Amino acid sequence: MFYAGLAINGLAIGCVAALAAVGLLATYRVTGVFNIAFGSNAVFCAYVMWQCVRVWHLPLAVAAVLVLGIVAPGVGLVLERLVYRPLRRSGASGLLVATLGVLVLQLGLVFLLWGGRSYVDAPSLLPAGSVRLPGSLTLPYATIVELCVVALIAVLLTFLLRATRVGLMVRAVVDDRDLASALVPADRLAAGGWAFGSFLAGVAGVLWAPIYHLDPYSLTLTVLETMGVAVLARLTSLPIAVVAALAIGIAQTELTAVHPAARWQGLVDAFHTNLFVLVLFAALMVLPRLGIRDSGSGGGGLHREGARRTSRVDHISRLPLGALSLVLALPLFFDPADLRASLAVPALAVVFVSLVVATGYAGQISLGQAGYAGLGALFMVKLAGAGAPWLLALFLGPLLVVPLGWLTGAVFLNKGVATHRRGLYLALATFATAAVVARFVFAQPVFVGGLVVSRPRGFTDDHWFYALELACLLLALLLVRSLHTGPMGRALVAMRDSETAAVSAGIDVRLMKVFVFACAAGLAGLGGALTTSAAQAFNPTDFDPVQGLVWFAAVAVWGVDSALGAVVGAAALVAVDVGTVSGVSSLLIGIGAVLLGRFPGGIGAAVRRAGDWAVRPVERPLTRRLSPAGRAVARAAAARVRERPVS
Amino acid sequence: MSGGRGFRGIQIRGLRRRFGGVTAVDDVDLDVPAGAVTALIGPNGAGKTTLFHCVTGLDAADAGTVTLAPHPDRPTVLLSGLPPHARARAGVAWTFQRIELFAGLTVAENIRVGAENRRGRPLLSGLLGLPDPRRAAVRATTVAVLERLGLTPLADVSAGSLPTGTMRLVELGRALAAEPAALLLDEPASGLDDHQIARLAEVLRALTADGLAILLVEHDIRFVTAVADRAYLMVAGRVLLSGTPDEVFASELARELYVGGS
Repeated sequence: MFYAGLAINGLAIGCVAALAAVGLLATYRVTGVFNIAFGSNAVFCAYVMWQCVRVWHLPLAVAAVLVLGIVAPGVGLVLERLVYRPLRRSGASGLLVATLGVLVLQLGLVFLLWGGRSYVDAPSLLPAGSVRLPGSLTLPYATIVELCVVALIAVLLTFLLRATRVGLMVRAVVDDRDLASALVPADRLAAGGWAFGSFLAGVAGVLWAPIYHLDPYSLTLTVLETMGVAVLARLTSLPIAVVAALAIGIAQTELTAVHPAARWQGLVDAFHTNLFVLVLFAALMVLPRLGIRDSGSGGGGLHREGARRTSRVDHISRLPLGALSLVLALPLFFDPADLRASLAVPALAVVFVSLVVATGYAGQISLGQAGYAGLGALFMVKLAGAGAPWLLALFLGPLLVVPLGWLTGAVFLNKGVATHRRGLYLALATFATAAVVARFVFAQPVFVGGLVVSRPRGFTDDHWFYALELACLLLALLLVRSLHTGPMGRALVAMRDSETAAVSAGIDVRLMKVFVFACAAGLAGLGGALTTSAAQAFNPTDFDPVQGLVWFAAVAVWGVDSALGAVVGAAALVAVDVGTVSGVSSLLIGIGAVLLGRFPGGIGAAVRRAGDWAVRPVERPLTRRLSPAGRAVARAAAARVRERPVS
Repeated sequence: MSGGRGFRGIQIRGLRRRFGGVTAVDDVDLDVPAGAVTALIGPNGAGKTTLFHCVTGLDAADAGTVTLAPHPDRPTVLLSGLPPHARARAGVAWTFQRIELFAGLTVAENIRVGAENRRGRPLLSGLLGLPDPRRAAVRATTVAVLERLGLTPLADVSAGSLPTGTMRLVELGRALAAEPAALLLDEPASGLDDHQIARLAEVLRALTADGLAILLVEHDIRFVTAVADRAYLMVAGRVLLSGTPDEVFASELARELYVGGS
């Protein structure tokens, strides 16, 4: 009977997860986009609902109609029109960054409008009370209603998509929007799909908020974690998603009844509180063949237009490099209080550069750099604590991250996922890695309890430490340089442009990818070690997995293949964070990421294009040599190459 | 179809590849001798490209062996089981039916990538930016290949902005830059105009004179007749006929497939 009671509690948890997973999957089925921003959308709607009822004192029913009938679908329509429609040809990576951008943007908005405060008085649409079951068990009405909602959505949508004309048209649009637009009103169907997906997010948010606290992060994270359920359902089957979510929910509560020897209790606790994250991680390891539909490989779509020729002497980047060095050296003359804030810049810049290496150079989307950064920091602290000289530990710690990066890279990068499905797979896998590391290492007192972080003599003064940070950043940039120029840089560009062709040229693409990914992990570790040393404390929040998402979006905005852009981006992020209220930096990054589809390659590429334009006269004679017909052919060829997915 | 001692080139023995219930390549024996152009012809769906992929390693054969005898004084390499990049390093180069170029690199860089990756180099030395000991040789090869294919004027043009015919040449250049012992071309003449086809034929003849083993998968009857020394007719996964191109195209079967069959 005790276990049955636990199972009913688990059912409640499972219902919430099922609602998230079904919403996520339904959106995916009707729009073709794996909407990472589903959770933030739900949060936003829940906050609006709170505002309507608690601040404007609207009746509950009116507020519900307003939020679920107008606001939620409206957000979907606006996002479809302004963000997703312009991106329909930009492939999966572009869409992924856009959804990430929407997530960051919506969180930023919540922070700006509501100060990011959490509320416990979110209005509830569900009836209170519960049904008495035999054996003194009670089943809350709320759980019953949620179960019904979830089942209804799953059954109705499955029927709609499989058995109706509209469903057929929706599937056609999801499959190939351009092709379908000749036969069906594709734009309207897509808009309808987004409105529906956003409505589901609204339903999820409004139903959740009273159960959990209304809080910007927790709901967003809940959705990100339930992606495991969606993966288990191979992103296709709604019924499987429901069953899996309920099963995991029940398993999670049943695990609370497991009481092993005291020393293992912490681990068991970590297991049952993080079962969804574990499922996501495990599902990605064992189930590679997802029904993920997308049309761009790795990070290809992020910088295709801005792809640069590596071996050419880059006159344009000389000038910013000089200016940047001057700006970075400025804090050395700041007074201590301002210098303190600046300490975060080089550390974050090293992490950003690692993202450029993984995503920009190797073409592998990595949302998990926060995990590697934190591990680098932790290893450094442990080594220093074990008596290693601090300067040695600063480099040895991150070096220890390299094999871990290699291991995860070897598992995920070369998994038998079809090339065109790799972007989303990698995004999920790297995020899951960071989440698992955060929950099972950074959140465990066994590993992070009682850590003493102190800088050694000579570097206790912030000026000297800042100088050391700059030296580390320079080292990172030098390493990155050889990945960007010379034979290695050429091989990486080749790999990004066409993996099959790179293989035919004798490049060991699998090894190369893992190698570069592992290097990126090590660099992230160095950045993390610097962050921790700068703060003189190991803060797990510095390495929160959601932080990794923000970092990725920020780097994408500045151009994933621009190391200098990453450094500027880090400085800008810290400056905005220090100089304004919380939420502004997220909002800016979100807007930037959302607009990326229109400005491929980000700010870095825009600067580069401006530079290219300035030196264009040098290149002109070649094009001029062609006849008008020849130019047309060349243009057509160029267009063809651009449209072709990089595989 | 006997290889025997002293054979140089690619030998395919008992190659078989199944997809579900369909046998795309059914127990095929084929020799691609050095110093000659061997053409593989046949209707769509005959299994030509599958065979091609089984030789390059892009697809894994279910049975049979592929060996490469690169040079009289270098040992014969068993290609079967090697990953594609290792086959490339062993001396097999190939081009693609659907053009695969490095659009972000210039023409010269495309060719250079082919030249500098034919031998593995420790990744760490690349990361530390150590100078490449083969740098001068790579440069010389690149220049020579550009010259041979008439691409020198286009060396610094972005490969993504070229017309199709020139792209095919760049692809060929990248393959040649690896200084291979065997060259596999999958429909190299498609998308080329008559002038370019003539030029390609000329280049291929010159390459065979250098002792290269060339395997050609091609539809264009005139082109095959012009360049190939030997042709194999493949139908439904099996090699049914072989001989000089004229003999093969003159056969009842080929006429039925190529003229009457349409």
